[in-house]
Amino acid sequence: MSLFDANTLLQVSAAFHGFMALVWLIMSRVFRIAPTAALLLAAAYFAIIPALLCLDCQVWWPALLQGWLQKLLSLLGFTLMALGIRRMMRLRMRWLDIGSVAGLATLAMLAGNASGRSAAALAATSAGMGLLTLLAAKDVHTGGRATLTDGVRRFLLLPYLLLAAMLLARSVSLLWMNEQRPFFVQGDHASAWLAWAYLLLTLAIGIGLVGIVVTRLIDRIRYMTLRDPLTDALNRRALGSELQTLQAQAERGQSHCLVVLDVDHFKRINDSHGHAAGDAALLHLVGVLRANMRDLDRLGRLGGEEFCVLLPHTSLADASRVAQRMCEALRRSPLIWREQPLKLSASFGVAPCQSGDPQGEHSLALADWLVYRAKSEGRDRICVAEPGAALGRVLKP
Amino acid sequence: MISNTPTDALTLLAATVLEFGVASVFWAVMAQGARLAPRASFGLAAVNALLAVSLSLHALRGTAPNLLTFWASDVLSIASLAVLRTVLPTLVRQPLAWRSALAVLLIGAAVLATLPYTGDMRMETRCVFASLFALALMASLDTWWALRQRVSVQMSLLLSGPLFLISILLLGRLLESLLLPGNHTDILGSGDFNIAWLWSMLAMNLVLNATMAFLILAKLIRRIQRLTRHDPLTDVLNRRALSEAIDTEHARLQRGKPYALVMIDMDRFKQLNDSLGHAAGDAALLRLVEVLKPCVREVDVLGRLGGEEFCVLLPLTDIAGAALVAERMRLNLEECQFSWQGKAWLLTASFGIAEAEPGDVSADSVLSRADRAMYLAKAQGRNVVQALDA
Repeated sequence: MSLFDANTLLQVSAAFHGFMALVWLIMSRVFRIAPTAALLLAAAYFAIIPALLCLDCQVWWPALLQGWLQKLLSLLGFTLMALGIRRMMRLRMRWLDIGSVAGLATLAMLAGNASGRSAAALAATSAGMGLLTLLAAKDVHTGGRATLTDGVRRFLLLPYLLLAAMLLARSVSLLWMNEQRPFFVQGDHASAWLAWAYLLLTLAIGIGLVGIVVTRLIDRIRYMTLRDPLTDALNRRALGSELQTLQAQAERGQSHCLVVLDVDHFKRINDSHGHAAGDAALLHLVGVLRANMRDLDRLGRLGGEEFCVLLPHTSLADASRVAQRMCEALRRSPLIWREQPLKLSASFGVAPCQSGDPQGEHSLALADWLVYRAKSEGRDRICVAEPGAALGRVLKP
Repeated sequence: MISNTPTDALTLLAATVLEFGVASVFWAVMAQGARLAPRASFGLAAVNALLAVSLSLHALRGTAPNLLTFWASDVLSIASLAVLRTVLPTLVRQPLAWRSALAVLLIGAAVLATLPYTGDMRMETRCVFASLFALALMASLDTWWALRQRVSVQMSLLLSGPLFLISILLLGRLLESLLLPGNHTDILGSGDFNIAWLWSMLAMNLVLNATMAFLILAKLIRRIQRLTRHDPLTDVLNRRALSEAIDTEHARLQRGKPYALVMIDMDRFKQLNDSLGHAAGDAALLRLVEVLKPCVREVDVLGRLGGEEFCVLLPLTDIAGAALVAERMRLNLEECQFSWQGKAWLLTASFGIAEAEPGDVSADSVLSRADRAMYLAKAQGRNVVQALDA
């Protein structure tokens, strides 16, 4: 006789599953956080409960259902769980792998039951659940890459891997030793420890999933505080801190450049076509600019119709070429507004990140001044800072 | 529980301790790793850990020293809810409430120290549960009041209701010790009462932790909603939110509800930025909002259209009323002091006002009228209010 009772532990597990189902239901319906994924998880937790709640209440069920209802529901629960996690991690919803594992395990389980080999049926169920847990672990691993640090991700993955190992080992032991007994046995020492492990691992997985949702929200807030809501470009504060980093590197001799640009006659677009057209023009502009940027370049909105592109590790000559390309691309692709082409152009100022300017104010002011020079020379052109010369060089690409 | 096998008290207790332990680790990770509401998260880690220790000590009665298993166990359980009562207000943007919590804890601990811990221990039970109930009730009431000011009744009920449930459960235990004095409980006993109590403890743990998680989620969601509707610098509504408010008001125009708009543009903002820097420009915008805000009523909506341009929506106001508001704003702004790093700068703005007319097909035409009025004000030499009729 064991010190602990497997049956009680399973009851606690069942209570936890029921509670988690409620939590995900509230997440989905009240908070509207990841509604589909949360609903799938709630269903998964509900489906697993009958298999945990009582080991020996199969006798209450109709003879037809005996032996396979609990197994089927467990498999269904794990399948829904894997799908919910995949959805939650914002991965592409592909059903094939999860569906085939679940289907094969169900078929094997039914075949085992039909041929009267209950150990084989249980082994198939256990193996299916283990493989589904592994698939979920893979999704947490790939999906968490964007938002979670490596340490946290490993910490979150551990319970999945342990649970999968436990379920697969149980499956092997059932097949190998051809044990004729249910998954958990009352009053059995080994069963009690298995139940402890199951409780601990499901607790860790369940709470970890809540943690993932919370970190996702925090991430969204972090993102939103750095971005301009209309164009998704960096806002001025975020751009300022990026620029500070570049300025610090400029101090150590790295060559970085920045391009400031201002949309020409933006007020006219707003006044004659409405603010919606103005917004569309800015979005169009950002699209054109992004198409001409590398991954490590940064685009920020300084305010109104004024933007700034940071070009790390770029010489002034190269930066000037980038600005020319952007200016040209903008002229060539008018905005289509209410089926009418709307001409769009901008004036560019290209300046290097100078040393001795930790905040980047002077570099930015220089680029700003060059923009005004480009404007005064007739707009739709670029003006590049020239070392040694007071006035920049104006180019019309 | 639907089962024909009895629940084992020791296992149930151990599982409850395990759940408290896992929850404690979760909150510690959240506080440390995600820097998520660190005070509250560390507090909740402590709440769960204290309860886990208290329960474990209680279970050791008879095998470990009595001082630990009786007095210390009871004081730790009170301390746990005292921590909860202290940190919970931080989740609803209130200061730490440590004074009342500490008072209850000290009184409870002192009273328990004077009690003999012999016999049926009715007095001890009463003291423990009276303290726990007081702490839980204070925490619930605080949460309810703070939430009611910010979110809907349903949401406040959902978020603070579980805490009230916990309070009621603790009160029930207190009343039980008063009304049914003979019910001596052994936490490892397999009597129905004890098993039910252990189950309710487990449920309390789940409910408590889930409620805390929901409070944090609600806080995060409110923050996201705020970020999408407010301008990050000045904290007034952003253009999208203001346009929505104006469109809604325009829809009411058909039902004979007039409204007026005041368009505000800070004078010589570019010069300010160029001569004193962008930081000075930001400070000036903040000062402007600070001056303008007291000039509008609760129902009025102040928003930033972008750059140095602001707009006020005045529901149920005609052009004369709008002129009064705008003139007051202009005067207050002119009289306010603004300086940046010792350099004084005269803060003024030009105001354009327009009233919605029945002929206006959309809010855009009212907006553009107010905009044109504002340009007329600029042309007149700035720092004036100008109206424009349809």
